[in-house]
Formats: sequence, C-alpha cells, structure tokens
Amino acid sequence: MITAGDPPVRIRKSRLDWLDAQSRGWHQAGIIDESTRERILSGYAAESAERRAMAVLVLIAILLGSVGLLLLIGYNWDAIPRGAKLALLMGSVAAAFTASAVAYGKGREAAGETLAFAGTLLFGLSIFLVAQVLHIQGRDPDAFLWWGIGVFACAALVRSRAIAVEASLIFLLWVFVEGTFAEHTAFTFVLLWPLALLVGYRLESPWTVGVAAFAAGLAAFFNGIALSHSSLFLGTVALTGCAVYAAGRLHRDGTMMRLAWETSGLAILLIVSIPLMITQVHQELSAYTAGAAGIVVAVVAGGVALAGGSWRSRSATDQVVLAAAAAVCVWIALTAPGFVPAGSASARAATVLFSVLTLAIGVGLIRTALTSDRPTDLAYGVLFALVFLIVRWVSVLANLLWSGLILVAAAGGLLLIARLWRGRATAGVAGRVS
Amino acid sequence: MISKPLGSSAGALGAAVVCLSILFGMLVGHAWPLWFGRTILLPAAAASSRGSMHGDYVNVTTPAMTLVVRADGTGGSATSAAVRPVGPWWNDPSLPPVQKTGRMRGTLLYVQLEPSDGGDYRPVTVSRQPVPGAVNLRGVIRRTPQPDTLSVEYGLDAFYMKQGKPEAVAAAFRAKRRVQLEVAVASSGRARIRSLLIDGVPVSK
Repeated sequence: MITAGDPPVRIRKSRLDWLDAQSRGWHQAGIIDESTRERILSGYAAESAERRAMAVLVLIAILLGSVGLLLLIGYNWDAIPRGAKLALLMGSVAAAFTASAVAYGKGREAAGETLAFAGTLLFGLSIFLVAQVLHIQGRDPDAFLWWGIGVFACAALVRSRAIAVEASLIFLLWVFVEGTFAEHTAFTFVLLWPLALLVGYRLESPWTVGVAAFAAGLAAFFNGIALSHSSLFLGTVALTGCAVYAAGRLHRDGTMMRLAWETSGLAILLIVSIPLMITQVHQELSAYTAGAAGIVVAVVAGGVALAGGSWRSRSATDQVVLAAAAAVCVWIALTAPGFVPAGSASARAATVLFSVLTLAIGVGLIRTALTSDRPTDLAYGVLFALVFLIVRWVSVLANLLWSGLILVAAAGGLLLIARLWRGRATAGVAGRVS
Repeated sequence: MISKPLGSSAGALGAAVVCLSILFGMLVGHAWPLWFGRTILLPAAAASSRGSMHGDYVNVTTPAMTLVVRADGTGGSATSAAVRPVGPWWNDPSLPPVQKTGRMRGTLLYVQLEPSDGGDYRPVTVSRQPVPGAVNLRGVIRRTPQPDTLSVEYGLDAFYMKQGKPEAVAAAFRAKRRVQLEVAVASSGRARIRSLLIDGVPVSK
C-alpha cells in the first residue's frame, strides 16, 4: 500500500511497466484522470538492476562458499580428533546464534532471523553427527524429537514464524519416524502437541498450526494401528480429520487460523478416504475386533464433535464433514465389536458408504466454493472428487468400457465445475461493479 | 526476508543456550557408558561395510540382537542367542501371537550376560527389569520375526571408520577371522561400542 509522503515502493521493472500500461488504459477509459494516474505511478519505482544483480551474486557466493566449506570439513572429517569434532559441532551452533544476537543488536532483524534459522539447521546436523562421533547408530526418532523440541524453543525465543514452521515440520517428521519405529507416540505426542500449537498461536503462524494439526492425523494413524487392527484404526484417523476440521470453527470465518485447521482436517480426511474406499481393506479390518474402551472413547468423541458442530454448522462442507463423523461413529460401533459378521457383503457395503461419503465431501466443498467464493474449497473439492474417481477407476481398470465412461464423465464434470466457477466469478465482479 | 521478525539479542542467546544444553545432554547421555561403563566383549555374528550421509561404518550384529526366548533356553545358533525369560511377562496367554507382536514392538527389555569359556559374554536370560548383580544390556524390541524370537536393538550396530576401512573389517569377518565388539555397559544397561577387535587386536579407525 502507498501512503502520501512515503518514499516510492521498489517493484520489478516488468511490474511497473504493467502498471503503467494498465493505468494508461484506465485513463483512456475515463476511469481515472491523468493526475490520479501520475499520483499512483509516483508511489512506485523500478528496482535497480545492479542492486538486484549484486544481491543474487552475493547469495550465490554465500551458497557456494557454505557448500564448499562443508565439503572441506567433510573431506577432513575422519582425520579430525573426536574432541575437535565435538567442539566444531557445538561451536558452529554457538557461532550461528551469537552472530544472530549481534545482528539483532544492530537492528538487522532479517539477518538475525536468517542466522538463527541457520543455527537451528546446524543444531539438527550436530544431533545426528554426535551419534556418529560416538559410534552409535542412534535412535532416529529421538534425534528428531530433540531437534524438534529445541527448534520450537528457538522459535518462541527468537519469535520467528519461519523457525516455528521449521519446528512443526520436524515435529511431523518425528511423528512419522517414531510411528514407523515403535508405533507408540501417544504419550509424548499428547505432551508436545499443545506446546506446538501454543507456539503457533503465540507467533500467529497459521502454517505452524496447520502442520501441527495435520500431525494429529498421522499420530492417530500410528497409535490406532498399535491399538487395534480393526475398523477402530482407520476410523480413529477419519474422526481425527473431522475433529481437526471442526476445530477450525472455533475461529472467526475468513481467518488464516480457521483455514489452517480446516485445510489440515480435509487433508487428513482426503488421505484416509483412499483405503476406506477399497473393499480388500475392509475385509482385512473385519478380521479383527477392538476392546470396548477404545470403541466407547472413539464413538463418544465423535458424538461430542457431532453435537458441538451441528448447532453452528452453516456451509455445505460443514454438513458433509459432520455427516462423515456420524457415519464413521456408526461404522465403528457396528464393526469394531464384531456385531457385523465379517464377509464380502459387509466389506462391500462399507466400501459403498465411504465412496459415497468421499464424493459427498467433494460435492459439498465445490458447492461451498461456488457459493462463498473460496478457492481452497474448490481445490479440495476437486481433489476429493478426483480421489473418488481414481480409486473407483482402478477397481474397473481392466474394463475398457467402464474406464472410458468414468474418464469421460470426469472430464465433463471438471469442465462443468470450471464453467460454474467462471460464471460465479463473473457474477461476483458484476455484482461488485453495480 | 523469511517472515516478519520480532526477535531480540536476548532471544537468540537464549536459543543458543537451549540448543547447546540439549546437545550437551545428548553428548553426556551417549558418552556416559564410555566414561563409567564396564567393558565386555561380545562376539560378532555378522559384519558388513555400509555408507551413509553420516559416513562409512561397519554394520555389526551380535547374537544378542536376535533372541530365541524359550523356557528351556534352547534354540540358539551362530547368529542368535537362546535365552530364558525372567518373570511372567513372556508367557501372557491372553494375547494371541499377532497382537503380541504389535504390542511388543518398541518395548524396553534387559538381557543378562555371562562370560563364556572363550572370554566373551553371551546372553542367558531376558527380563523387563534389570536383574540385580548381573550384567544387564538394555535394548528395545524392533520386531518379532517368529512367535518366540525377538529382534532387539541396543545401539551397537554401527562403528564409524575412515572411508574404505569398514570393508577391511567385513573382509576379515568373511575370512572367518575372529571379530569382537569391545563394549562399555553402564549400570543402567545402556551400552556403547569402544572398539572392534580382529583376532583380539583393536582395529584402527
């Protein structure tokens, strides 16, 4: 935004040329007069080509120099004594943060944050190399856990959103690595997850919150499979997706935090919908039963989410996600205790149920996108519809007739959505002009 | 730059203190057995040369890493160790084998070692708690390839060496020479490799 008295904002020359051409067109169309055009243009100036070129050259030099230095250290790594290696590792971390502190002290905040960011990367590198120095394979999940804890603390102390996003990505990685290693992440996850969210909220970082919210789905997956191989396993993941989506409703409409929760919830639902639309998966799940406690907790949690969300639900997406939560609760209550006999008929019925739900979520999202002008919902709606189509297409891959019909229908559906979206956008513009 | 920064010098120094404290804690935790542990020898059941982003290393296995758990203590081989379970944890009849596999993965256990006639230490029993007076090796169950067999990790499977050196150890093992791990075991059961021995002589790193 430009304000009277401020120096001109530096933008790329191509962008300034575009603004010049556009404003000329507005002037010729009588939308603005010449003095207004000149006032608009005076608020901007083209970036100096030399300055940009110099910045790029310095950046490349720093990058090449850093890689070269790391390679030189790597080349001599074996010859460096153990104590010197440890001193080098810890010294590099200390140096990066000290340089960051100096930069902050001089008011060069961007440099301070960049150096602190580099410090967190060196910290991670040091964690892994300490194990190497001491001849241990190390337990990778623990390395990611401590790296994540340290980086979250750094994000909170330096008050950097970039470092907070880095920390949440490491946290997500930890859930994955720990899950594949031992499957028992529940206790540590319950301790760390609120802290991750706290840092995300304190720094007003939707990306941090979104990634941490998505980690809940991943944790539900690994802990669910450790708890039971029955329908409770994937059902818990689906309910987590619904709960994460519902958590978005605690925020005001249109805020980035709400979008972060909703997007993560939908991402979890999208991923878990793939196995839930496959009959063989349901046959596998139906071979197992779950303990009463787990089923009661899952169904009650789903019921509470359902009751809490239904009072305030407004959009078509909200309605279909709540419907999905209700359907998953019923499905768990019927199949996990073994009330429904295992067999191909029940597996097929579950496949149909979740296929319909996936398609309904897709349609609900597209409808919300069209009525509320939300591109994210449109993207997710199309993704849900495509996932439904691909999974169903794979099941009839050998049949050329059905394959052809499905693909033609998909193409037609996408063109129709594109037309509706364009029509909605045109109507919106017309409405705003009038 | 990356995002709108809000930090301060004190914050950056605080971050340094946190990161260095974690690193120092890990360093002490890892090095503790090497400083204060009891040194024992474990026979190598296999040795192969590996490389990773961390560097080149010898991947060593010892029979204690594959435990055949039976009440009569039979079933061991050159690459696995037969051990007796201590306590009632092993024979829980309420768990079917598949469920047991899922639940035991990641479980902490202690393997009790005793010296053999050859001078190295062999596993004799396995328990969920350290046995007082015994040399307890602390490990984590990675998987159960058979209902009575546990694959256990102790953090002893990598010995980092200079580029090309691990292959010499692997070659010595293939040539049927005696390869042993010199291991430091702390009173907590945590263990770290001190060195590798070929025919009783420590290899240079």
